[in-house]
Amino acid sequence: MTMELGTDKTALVVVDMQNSYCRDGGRMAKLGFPWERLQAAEPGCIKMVAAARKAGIPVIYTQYVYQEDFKDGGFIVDEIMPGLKDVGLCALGTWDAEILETLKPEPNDAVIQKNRPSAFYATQLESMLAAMKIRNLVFCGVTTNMCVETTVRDACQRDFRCFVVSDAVGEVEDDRSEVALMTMGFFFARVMTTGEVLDSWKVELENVA
Amino acid sequence: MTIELGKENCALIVVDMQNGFLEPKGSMGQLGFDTGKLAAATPGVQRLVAGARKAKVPVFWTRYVYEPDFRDGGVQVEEIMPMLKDVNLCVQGTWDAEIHEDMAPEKGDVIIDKNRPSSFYATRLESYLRAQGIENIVVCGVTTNICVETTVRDASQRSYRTFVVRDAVGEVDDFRHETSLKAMEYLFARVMSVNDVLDSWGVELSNAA
Repeated sequence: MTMELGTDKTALVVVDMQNSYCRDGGRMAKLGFPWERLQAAEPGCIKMVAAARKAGIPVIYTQYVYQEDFKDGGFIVDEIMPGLKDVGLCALGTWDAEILETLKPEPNDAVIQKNRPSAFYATQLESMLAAMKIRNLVFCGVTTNMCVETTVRDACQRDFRCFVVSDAVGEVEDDRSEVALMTMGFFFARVMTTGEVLDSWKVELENVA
Repeated sequence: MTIELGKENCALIVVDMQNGFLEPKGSMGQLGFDTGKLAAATPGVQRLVAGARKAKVPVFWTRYVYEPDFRDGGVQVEEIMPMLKDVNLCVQGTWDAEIHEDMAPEKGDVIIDKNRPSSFYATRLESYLRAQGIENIVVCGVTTNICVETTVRDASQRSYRTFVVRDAVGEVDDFRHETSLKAMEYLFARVMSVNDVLDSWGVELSNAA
């Protein structure tokens, strides 16, 4: 039995496609992470956004943003990865925190700012989804094992039907990428390709990026 | 820089050490999962619980519990893993849902029932932790990649200093076990051994299991 995806009560969630993660000058690059592996999610995300627009599906962007002095960083920043503070990752108001120019939200798209991996924890996402009567969430973005997976775990526990687009997500390490997709498929989501999502939405893109 | 653990403001959380997960004739065993790999967490959990008693660290037990008709199962039961229903996984009031007799919850321990992987989502756990001024959480139990990891992600995001005990958690698949520990260590927790934890608490067990 396959969990079916359609266009009804469905939203696309584009997770953290920001300069910080996906551009050479971003802070992840500064920390020495292979940012190209995250940028690899960009064409898939562009395709997903274009398809969602065509199918009339709302697009929701998430954006990782910390206060300039990282007073909102907590255990994750203060103790686990203090490097984030040293480089000023995704600090409020900086180029680093901005969503990629190629995926720039349109006026009516929702942008959910967060300072934790999950887009559900202490954000406006859930009330927005309830108001919009959304039941199905399609996820793309970065990083597969961190913010995408934490958000998907939270979404599924809240009984949203979750779909993760395997060729529109990115992670810096192969083993974590593989296990993240395996884990989400095991108990939290259906893992699909962009092609399969487009078919489910009955959308064709003429000029595929 | 090591993330230090002490016994002040510390709690031990023992996740889902139930017959359904640990016993070969339990529901996970009936589904063909290798419960031996989950039961392997038992000696470590026993030592942590004994250490916590000595150090006067409060112990919280979580139990996965579903309604007999699974009306609380949601997407995970209805669509992702319908076979959980076929084997009556952890149904309220059954042997399957009971904490395994090798564990020893005592009067005064808090038992948190949940019907989702996270011990935080829609449970009473956080109110107890707040009321008791808990800032540090040591997590053990099963399964590493699902309920332990989902709980750890949630604890860390809530800025609890979070510690996972490598030799007191268990998963049915070795690759998922190892990579899950790696993912938790990457952004959510410090991974320690049982001995490290006991040392940090300043306790010695006379008859180490």
